[in-house]
Formats: sequence, structure tokens, C-alpha cells
Amino acid sequence: MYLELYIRVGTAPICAYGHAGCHIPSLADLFDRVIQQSSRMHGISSDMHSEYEQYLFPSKNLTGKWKCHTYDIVTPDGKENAQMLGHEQLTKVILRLLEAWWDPLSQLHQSMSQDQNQDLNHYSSNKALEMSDMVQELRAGVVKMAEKMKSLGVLSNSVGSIHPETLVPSSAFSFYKRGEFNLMDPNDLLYCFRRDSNKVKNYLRILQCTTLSELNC
Amino acid sequence: MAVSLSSSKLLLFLLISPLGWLSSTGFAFLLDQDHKTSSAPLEPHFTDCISRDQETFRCWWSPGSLHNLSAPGALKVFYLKKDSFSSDWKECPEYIHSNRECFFDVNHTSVWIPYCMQLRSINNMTYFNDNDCFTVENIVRPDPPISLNWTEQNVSPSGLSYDVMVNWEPPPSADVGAGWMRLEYQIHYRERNSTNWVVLEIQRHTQQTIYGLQKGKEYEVHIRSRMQAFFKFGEFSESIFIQVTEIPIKESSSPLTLVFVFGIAGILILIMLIVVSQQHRLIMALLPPVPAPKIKGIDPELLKKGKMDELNFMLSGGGMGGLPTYAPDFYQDEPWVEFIEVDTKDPDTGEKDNQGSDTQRLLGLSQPVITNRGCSNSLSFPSEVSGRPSSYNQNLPDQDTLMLMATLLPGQTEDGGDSFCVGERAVEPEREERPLIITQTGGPQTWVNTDFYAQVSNVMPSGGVVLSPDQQLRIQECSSATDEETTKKGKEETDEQKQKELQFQLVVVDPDGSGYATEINVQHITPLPSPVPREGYQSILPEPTETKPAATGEENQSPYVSPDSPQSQFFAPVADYTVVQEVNSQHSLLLNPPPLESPLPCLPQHPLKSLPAMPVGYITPDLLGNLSP
Repeated sequence: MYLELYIRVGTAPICAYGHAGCHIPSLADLFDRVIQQSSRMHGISSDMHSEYEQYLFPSKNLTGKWKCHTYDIVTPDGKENAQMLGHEQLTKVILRLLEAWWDPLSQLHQSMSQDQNQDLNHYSSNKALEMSDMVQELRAGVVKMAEKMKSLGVLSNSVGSIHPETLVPSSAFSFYKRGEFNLMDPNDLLYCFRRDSNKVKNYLRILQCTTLSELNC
Repeated sequence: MAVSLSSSKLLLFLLISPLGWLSSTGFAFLLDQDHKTSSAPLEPHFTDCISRDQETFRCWWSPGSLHNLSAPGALKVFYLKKDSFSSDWKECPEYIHSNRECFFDVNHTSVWIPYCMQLRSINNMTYFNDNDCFTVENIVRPDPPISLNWTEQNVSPSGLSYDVMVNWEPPPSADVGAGWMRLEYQIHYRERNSTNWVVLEIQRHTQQTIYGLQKGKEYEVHIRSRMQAFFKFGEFSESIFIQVTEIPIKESSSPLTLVFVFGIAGILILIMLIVVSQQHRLIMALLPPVPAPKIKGIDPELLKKGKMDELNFMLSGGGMGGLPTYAPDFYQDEPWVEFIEVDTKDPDTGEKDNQGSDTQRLLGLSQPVITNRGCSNSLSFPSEVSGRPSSYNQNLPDQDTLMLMATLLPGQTEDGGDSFCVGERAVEPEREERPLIITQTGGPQTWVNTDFYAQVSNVMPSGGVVLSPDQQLRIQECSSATDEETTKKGKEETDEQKQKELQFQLVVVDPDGSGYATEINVQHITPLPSPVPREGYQSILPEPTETKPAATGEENQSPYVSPDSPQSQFFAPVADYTVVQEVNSQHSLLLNPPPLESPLPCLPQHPLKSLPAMPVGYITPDLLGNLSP
């Protein structure tokens, strides 16, 4: 298990109003925290997915017609593409991805915890809960980071408004409406989440590199 | 339902579990080769697809057992990118036939998008495996780290083993700086002639410590890396060799340590000898003796437990006739001993019990010490004047210098013998009007009844200061009151005497009549012949001339006379400290009545005890405002 190797990210309150005695983190600090959180999230998703693949059949999603529910979020597929996308678009993509995953993960956790097989699912359901929490925290962290970037003039104000309808893809909505998340193969769901968390992690790194000029990327 | 789905899968897992772990990545070319060779003839297949930097990747194929397809160009590579735009097979963008390799450059590489690889022969045979699909991030195997180096660290005390810090750089092909790839590293090492590698824990830093290497042995170390949260390692780096030979430097240090040890031991022994030889002095210096109780004239043995009778005997004056002033020779050799003086004065020799004021004791006087010199004769008060063993020297005329000395230095009766002897003057008993100057002169008897604090009653032109014993007056009044009851015959006398006594209260005095004193030239206010002091204000008249006519008959031309001043309206004895209540239109100060207005409780008042009653009406700042005319 690779969980022990990941850095435990401690939570510290970010001062919204500049209270006295509260250390307001810089943009670099925010980036570090967010990237650590995303790295950890990806690690856990990878562990869970590999566990499922280990115990269960490998998924056929690569060859089949099945797609992840976030398929219609247009994401850059390489380093250069991500770098050329620009701060605002990249941030929007990150936020959309994170928004799209909280609900499915919470449903996954519920379905796992209801499963009769306690030996396999007790550990996995805890992981699913942890992942859904992390997605929520990471989304909040990225929002704060975006606000900080807006205050510094890096981002325009168009990024700030986050409407649920624009973030959650329509496909996910359709899934949700039909309640198909419960019917999805956890393995497939985990595969998709692993992939998307990897995307978020890499996009955040690219964003950090292009935003903070002192890194000399 | 998901529940049934999971359970069914679990069931299948239990049946086919031996095969399950092999297909963790789902790639056909990762399956065991031997497993395939045992079956049907090998068809062309992909041996491996690897990406080094997550931006490009390569695929290698093999013709298998069909050797007629081994010629370059006999097999073509087609791939399918399963993104939303295209779903058709495309040919390999770049062939490297010498390696049977297909290279996908940056433009043709998309991460997170599934690729499927296919081999097609010329005669339209397609060799495709479902398992030849992958995503680029899952096939990344980073290059090995570079610049592997080591430095020696902590050597064990025995000198036989040591630690080594190994450091390296990440591979240049992996864009670690931009964060596109994040790597973790794993070190393997072994002894030169061993076959088992020791695997260290995977960690993310670019340095790691190897513990417990032994001297004289040679070690081989190499390192590999992989992406974080992924499972595929890259190739191992080149091995480096670590060897540390014996270090003879340590041997030379042991004689030095021996020398140090013996030196310190010798110094310690010297210190011990010094301490033992000078033990007594050291103890005296470090632990000085605590003084035990020592009373002059008493053997300390008596102070020990169980000898109370002897102690009482000694203290009560028996034995040697009281404690002599010379102490027995107990503590001659201890000059720092201080003795407690025990007062064994005979109570009969004291003048009056209640008159023996604390002042006397405070002044350090004791009966046996003070002697009536010279002046004692003059201090015998004519009894016809006072009729009491009064301590007042009422009939003495003023003597400037003598009075000054007398009044100012109550504690030095021993010294100025003549100066106190105001009483040498002839007494004039028939003077009705007393000089309003009271002199506290001379003898110890006077002193006994004098307060420690006395009001200055007069300052002579020469500068002498006269005191007035007001407190004593109260006692006199008290006793006079009691006497009235008893002796009604002498009532007039007592009144007169009392009146006369009351005359002797003066307040501020300025002989020169200059400055601010003129305004408050206080005059003595004689009470009307009434035994009972009345309430009322006592106005202090600033004009000395107003009272002059009344004072013509007097010898004393001092401005502060007017025993019969018509303007006086008072009666109560002036207190030593009187509150100025207000200033009337004539610029005279109106004083508060003295605090003790009621008939004095004829208790033997200790002179000092009336002192606290004085500061009753000290003026406060707000009252001061009332005073301004």
C-alpha cells in the first residue's frame, strides 16, 4: 500500500477577512497546499482502483463504449496544451472537474457501505468517504486560490462565479437524474476518478508553474 | 443492483483469482511470456509501449513465430485514439524499423486518452488484442536518476561501521521542474560478491542514507525511479561502488584520553586533600554558626530546657542583686554577640505610673541614669502656685536662650546642665498674669510629663521656641475636674489655676511681626472663667494693636497677649492642631472647636493617646475654597 508514503496535509484555516493573528497564506502557500491535497487524492484513488482491479475483474472500459460521466468536459491532453490554455480556462477546467465528482463519490460511499460484504467494503467505504471529503476540500481550496489570484490580478473576474449548472456536465446530470451512479460499476467509477484526479493534479502543477514567475518553469 | 453486482464479482474472483493479479494493467504484453509460448504459435504482437516523459511514447512489436513477417514494412502499426473526435485507425506516425519501433511524438501523444494498438500485415491480416489498449500516463517509466554520488557520514564508536549519504539528480527527460512529472526513487545496494540486493524504502527526496555499511567491504549501489501514484519503475541507473578502508587516526587518540583521565583524577585528589586539611575553615566560611539566644548576664546554660526556676531567679533580680551592668565573662571572645538588655528598673522609682510616658523610654532615659544636676533645686515648684506636684514651671520668666535650649532639646537633659536651669530665676508667685510662655525646662520630672510631640507656644525674639503642653493640660483639667468635686473650697483656686493654665496655649507666633505671620498673629485666647469649656469659634485676630490696650498691664509686650480681650469669645482650649474653618471679613481665621468638647472623660489619659484625635479637621482642598474671602 502506498498510502503511508503520501504527505499528510494538515488543515489550517485560511483567513477570509484578515483577522489579527491569523496568518494569511500567500499564493505560493495556497498552491502548495492545493497541490499536496490533489496529490494525496490521486494517490488514494489509485490505491482504491488497483485494489478493485486486483480483487475483481479488470474493467473493459478501455475497449468498450462506456465513457466517464465527465467526458464532455474539454480538458487539455498534454503539457503544451495545458500551458497554452491560459490561467482562466485552466482554473475553470479544474473547478468543473472537482465539482463533477463530489456527488458520485458520496454515492459510491453509500453503496459500498450498504454492501453486505464487510471484509472488502469496510475499508473501501472509508476510502470512498475520504475521497469525497477530499474532493470537497480541494474544491474549496481551489476556489480560495482563484480568489487570491483574482485579487492579485492574475485572473479576471469571470472565473469567480461558479454556477452548479455550468460545472456539472449534462451527462452527469442525466446520470444523476436517472440515479445511474448507483448502477455503475465501482471499478469503472474508480477508474474514471483516478484519471480525473490525475488530470487535476497535473493541471494544478501547470497552473502553479505558469502563475508563479519565480519558479522559472 | 450494485449489491448483487459486487457479490457476483466477488464470487467470480474466488474462482479465477490466480489469474487476476497478473492483469493489473490490462496489457497483453505484460503477461507472462512462457504462458503464451506453450500455447498456439505466436502471432505478431506488441512487446512493449513505454513513455519516458509523459509527452511521447514508443511501441515495439515482434513478428512472433511468423518469420516471414519479420522483414521491415511487412507489418504496419495502426493505432486508435479513443477521444470524442475520431474513432478510426491511423498508422504509426514514425517508424523506426531497425528497432521495430513506432514513435509517437508530442503532437501525436495525448495523455488520459485511451490508445489501442494494432498490427496489420500486408496481406490484410490484423493482429489485435483487446489488451493492447492503454493510456499514456499508465505506461510511463521514467529514466534513471543521474549524478549518483555518495558521502561518508557517522562512523560508529568502534570504527567498524559507517553510514553513507547518497544523493542524485532527477532524470533530465522528466520535466520535474514544471511539475509535469513527480518522481519517487528506490535504492538497491548489495555487497560486491553478494547476489541479494537490499531494497530501501521508496521516497521522494533526491537523497537517502544507507546505514550500517562495514569498513573494508565494497558495496554496489544503483537507483531507479517511477512516477508517484503509479506502479511502473524505470530502468536502473549505473552502479556506483562504495568502499571505506580502515582509518588509523582513531588509535592515536587513546593515549590522549588516558592522559586526560589521569590528569583529572589527580586534580580531584588534590582538591580532596585541600578540603580535608582546611576543613574547619571551609566549614566556617560556608556554614557560619547561627547565633543562639544570649542574654547579658545570664548563663546560656540556663536557657536550656528544664532550668526555668534558676532563670526566673536571675531575672527577678535575685542572686547577684539584679542584672549587673557588667556581664559575666561569657562571651568575651565573641565580639559580634549582641546582648538583649533586660530592664530591671524598680517600679517604685518611677514617678507616676501613668505619667511615665513612653517618651521617656523612647528617649532612652532611665531613672538611675539621669541625675538632677544643679537645676534640681530650681525645679522645685512653689506649691502655692500650683498646689500640685505639677511639672509646670509656670512662674518662670522667659529666658530666651535657655528656653530655646530647653524646649528644643528634650532628650539631652544630661548634657546641658545649666541651660535648663531656668528655675534659677526667682520665682514670682504673685503675678497674676502669667507670661504666656511656658517653658519646658530642666529636670527629668518635666520631661517625664512632656509629650514627644509638643506644640510650639512661643518663639522668642532671639529665636527661642517655647512649647506648650496642651495634652498635659487636658489631664490637668481632668484632674482638676475631679478635684473640684472633692475640694470645693479650692474651687476658685482651681478655676484660677485652670484659667491660668489655660492661658498657656498659644498658637503660631512671630515675634517680628513680619510677613505672613502678621496676618495670622494668633493671640492667645483666654477662656472666660468657666470651668466648662464652651463651644465656639476662636477667632484669631490679626491685629496685635487691638489687643494691646488689654495687655498694657503686662510686663510682656509680646503681641500675643490678650487674656481679657473683649473680642474673644471662646472658651474651649485650643487644640494643638485646629482646623481653620473660615476667614471672616476681618481676615481673621475661624477655627474649629477642639474635638474634645464635651467634659473630658476623666480617665487618666495618656498624653500620647490624645494625639490621634488631633487631625480631625485637617483642611481639605474643597474647604480651602471656602476660605478665600
